[in-house]
Amino acid sequence: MPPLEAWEKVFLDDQALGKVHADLGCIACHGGVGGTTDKEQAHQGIVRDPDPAQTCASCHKSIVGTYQNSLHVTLAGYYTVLRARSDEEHWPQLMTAFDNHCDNCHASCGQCHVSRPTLNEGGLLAKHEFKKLPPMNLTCTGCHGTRVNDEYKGKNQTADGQKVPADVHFNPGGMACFTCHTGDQMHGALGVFNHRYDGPPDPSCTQKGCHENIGGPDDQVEYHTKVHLEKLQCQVCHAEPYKHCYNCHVQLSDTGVPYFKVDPSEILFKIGRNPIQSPERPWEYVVVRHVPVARDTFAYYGENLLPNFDARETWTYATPHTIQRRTPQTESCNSCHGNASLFLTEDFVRQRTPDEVEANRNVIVTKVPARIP
Amino acid sequence: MRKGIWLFLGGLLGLILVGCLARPEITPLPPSPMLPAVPTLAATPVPPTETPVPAADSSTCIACHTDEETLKALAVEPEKAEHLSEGEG
Repeated sequence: MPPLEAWEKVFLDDQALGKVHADLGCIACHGGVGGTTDKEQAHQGIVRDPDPAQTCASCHKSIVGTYQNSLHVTLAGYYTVLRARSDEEHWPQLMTAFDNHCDNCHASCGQCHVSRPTLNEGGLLAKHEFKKLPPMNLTCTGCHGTRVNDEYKGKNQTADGQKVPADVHFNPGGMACFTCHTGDQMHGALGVFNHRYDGPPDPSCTQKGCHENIGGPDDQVEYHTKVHLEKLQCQVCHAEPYKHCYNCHVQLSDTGVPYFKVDPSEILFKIGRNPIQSPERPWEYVVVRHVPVARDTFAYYGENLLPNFDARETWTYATPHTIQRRTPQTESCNSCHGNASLFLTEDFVRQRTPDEVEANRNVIVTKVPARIP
Repeated sequence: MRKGIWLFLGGLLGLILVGCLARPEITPLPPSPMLPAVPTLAATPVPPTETPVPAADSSTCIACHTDEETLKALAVEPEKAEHLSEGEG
């Protein structure tokens, strides 16, 4: 996204505020001192990103009442995976790393509806206009850029130079993020979850108004057999290759600036066994993505801070944004059957991430479906 | 006799209706095995406070922040943070 100069970040149009918000004035939400033209004095006690519970809640009570359940606020997904891989003894050191490198991923009401996220250095979206629907290119993909944005908009290419097309929902579908990821989901109105894949799929491909007839009497797709629909996550057939990241390490500079180093990413397609199989996600096979964690990701902060590293897979359940109706997998039966290169086999894990075979035991495919004569 | 039959039928109908209205027991799904419970602040929403009161005259704030020239003169570019990270974030 184009960067903003310092003055542009705070340049507003009082007509853009809308009457209700304008009537409150600046100081009611942001603090500071009125009646002075002295910059320092005017900015005393200023609050750049007002606390929603103290401001927005007075009118938007129900939303603020649930938004604290949102994973964008709780960051519970991070805690879940770190707890699984660490233990009480190493937790305090791990949390120091977390505070330095992960904690600024929080989002508040204002960081979607008024300004760019702080993670992206902030700046008003539209001269302080309150955007009921946040502009996805300045908010959602400002943070979810490396994987979601590049996949959804077709900006990736494979190692052999083949361009991966944009997700069909984006082009030609023209669907913005919030078409599927609704306000209720963003605002934590669907419940308390420990991870983004906790609970039923949301959004779900087959939810009302989407592909709800899949597997029904009118479904004419030859490959939509009962066995396929029961055993395969939709993405197994309908996703194109997507991004995998490896070997991220975090540390501080000599002057205390947090930074990371991560190996070059890779665009691949891999089918693994479902590590979170449940009545809500019953499929046996799902697509899996390598997440950038490594055994020594936090080594700068202490020795062996992830002592239970093998307790959780590093090739994880994934829902890539590279959906197409026709993919290399849908070309013929034997595009998948007997084609070991599509599957997360032990040989592949040993070759790509040799230190992580044990961590991925429950996602590694031990028997590739046989070729169909 | 006829009154007895009507009373019996009425009672039977009542029982059927009560049976239909009884809610089936819902068994919650077991938690996903890979997702251990994590204590978060999620379950404790902060109660909203009173409506923010327009505490003071904001006209000087507005005057400055809607004046492009003034902002350009006063805004200070933040020091460029050390950019040491390598690879995609």
